[in-house]
Amino acid sequence: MTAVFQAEGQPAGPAAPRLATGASLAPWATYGGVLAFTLVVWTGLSMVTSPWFFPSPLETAKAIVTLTATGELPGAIGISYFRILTGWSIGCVLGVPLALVAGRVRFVRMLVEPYVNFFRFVPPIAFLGIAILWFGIGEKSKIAIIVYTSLFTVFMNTMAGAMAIDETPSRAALSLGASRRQVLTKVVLPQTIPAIIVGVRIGMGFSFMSVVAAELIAADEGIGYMIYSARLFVQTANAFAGIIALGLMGLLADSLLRLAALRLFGRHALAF
Amino acid sequence: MANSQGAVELAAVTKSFAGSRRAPGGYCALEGVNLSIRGGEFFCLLGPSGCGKTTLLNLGAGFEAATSGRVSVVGRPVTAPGPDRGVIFQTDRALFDWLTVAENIAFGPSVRGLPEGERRQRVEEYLQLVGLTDHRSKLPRELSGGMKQRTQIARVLANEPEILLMDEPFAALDAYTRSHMQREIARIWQATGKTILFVTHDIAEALWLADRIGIMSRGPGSRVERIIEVPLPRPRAKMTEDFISIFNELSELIDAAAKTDATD
Repeated sequence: MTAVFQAEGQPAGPAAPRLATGASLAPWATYGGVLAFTLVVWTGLSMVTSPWFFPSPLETAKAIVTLTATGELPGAIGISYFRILTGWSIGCVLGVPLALVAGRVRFVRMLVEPYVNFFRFVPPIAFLGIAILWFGIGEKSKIAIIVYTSLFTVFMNTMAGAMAIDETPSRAALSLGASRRQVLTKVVLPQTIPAIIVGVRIGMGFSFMSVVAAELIAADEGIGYMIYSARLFVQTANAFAGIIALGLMGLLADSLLRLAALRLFGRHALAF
Repeated sequence: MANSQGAVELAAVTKSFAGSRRAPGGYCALEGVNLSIRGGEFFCLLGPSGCGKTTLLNLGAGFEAATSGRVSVVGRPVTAPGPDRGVIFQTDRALFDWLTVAENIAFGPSVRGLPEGERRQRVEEYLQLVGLTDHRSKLPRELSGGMKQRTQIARVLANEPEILLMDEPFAALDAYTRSHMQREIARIWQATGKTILFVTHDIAEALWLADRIGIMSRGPGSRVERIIEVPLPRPRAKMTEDFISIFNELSELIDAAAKTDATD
């Protein structure tokens, strides 16, 4: 739609969506409203059920305070973050270059694609047993699961982006005297950055899912373990506390990632 | 006899595209094209859409290779894209949208390893020539359509190519900006003395800019059907009696060329 109404003096394209978000009215008022609504509904639900079935916001807040005082919650957050960030970083370091090459070189893509299309349907958690067998019950097996998760997500999204880039800037660069190598580093790579950022962000989201799944099954610390043991002892408020912690952890990690991306690559047409 | 060689020379050029499952026979875009463009000339290629104008320009740029025949620029056979032939694309996606206007213009001199001082001097010179000095630090997405095309022109000129190949560069602009850019390119051509091969489907544009106009026939197997010298003096005024009569004449010639195979 933007292209149709594109006119002289009016920048179009990637800048347009940014205008749309910037124009929304007082974001904090909206967020506050949504939060208040959630608390009201939540309180209402907790009033018609029992605290073991559906603890109220107040009981959940108490649980958060208690778990923080005992050090259980900060410890769990720390260890889960450590697992996610380590696994995700390794996944990105391996996934991004591989995806760039596969996206640009048909032959490499043909070699890699059958594997990707096969393992795509094997959820990370299916490998947990094998990962424990290979890497032991400790940190390594959980991190391996996160590496597997993020590697795939980062790879798929980055490759799709690298394949979809417009050839015109590369042609322009060639006729400006750039070598093939310069085209790759000075044109294709910068063009792929928005896709890399998308891949890395989605990879982070999936890593959160995997770490909890791994911790639910085979761990004695971490947020997933905390949620699982809360269920065992019917401390439902603790499970709620864990879920809230997870959501906030994800929100914080993603915000920092976006902030870093905007700082480093603000000139690129990022999709947020 | 460098001049008789011609700045851009096409001899018996044929270009066909390989067949696909849908069109097994392939497609012959150009057949037996002969064309000679003089040094310093403003040459417009005019023709109905789908007549292979862009294909011809791509052969000159070296983006594609001719199936048979010879394509040469200033006596050298064209084998690949190169900085001696600056290409200005119709689409503004050709700009490097993560680089500022000044950085876009510096791209050619920079990849070709020009010394820092000379590079900066050229950027200034061509920023000024296209009137973008005040917008040097903007990103392409912050520019209007006309300014984006000026950036493309400056980026190419900063490389000081022998030939400019322009592929409907103003087709996506609104009418007012288009006529402004036409005056600009005429001025830049006169200031730099470059040879320009300019592809367009706009008769008035060709008539307004060109020394000579090549009319192409409709594909498949298009050729440069006729070449017409434009007798109008410069600077050219639009809508004079002469202008209108040549316009009508050209329009009939193009209709005739298009009727060769009027499928749509």
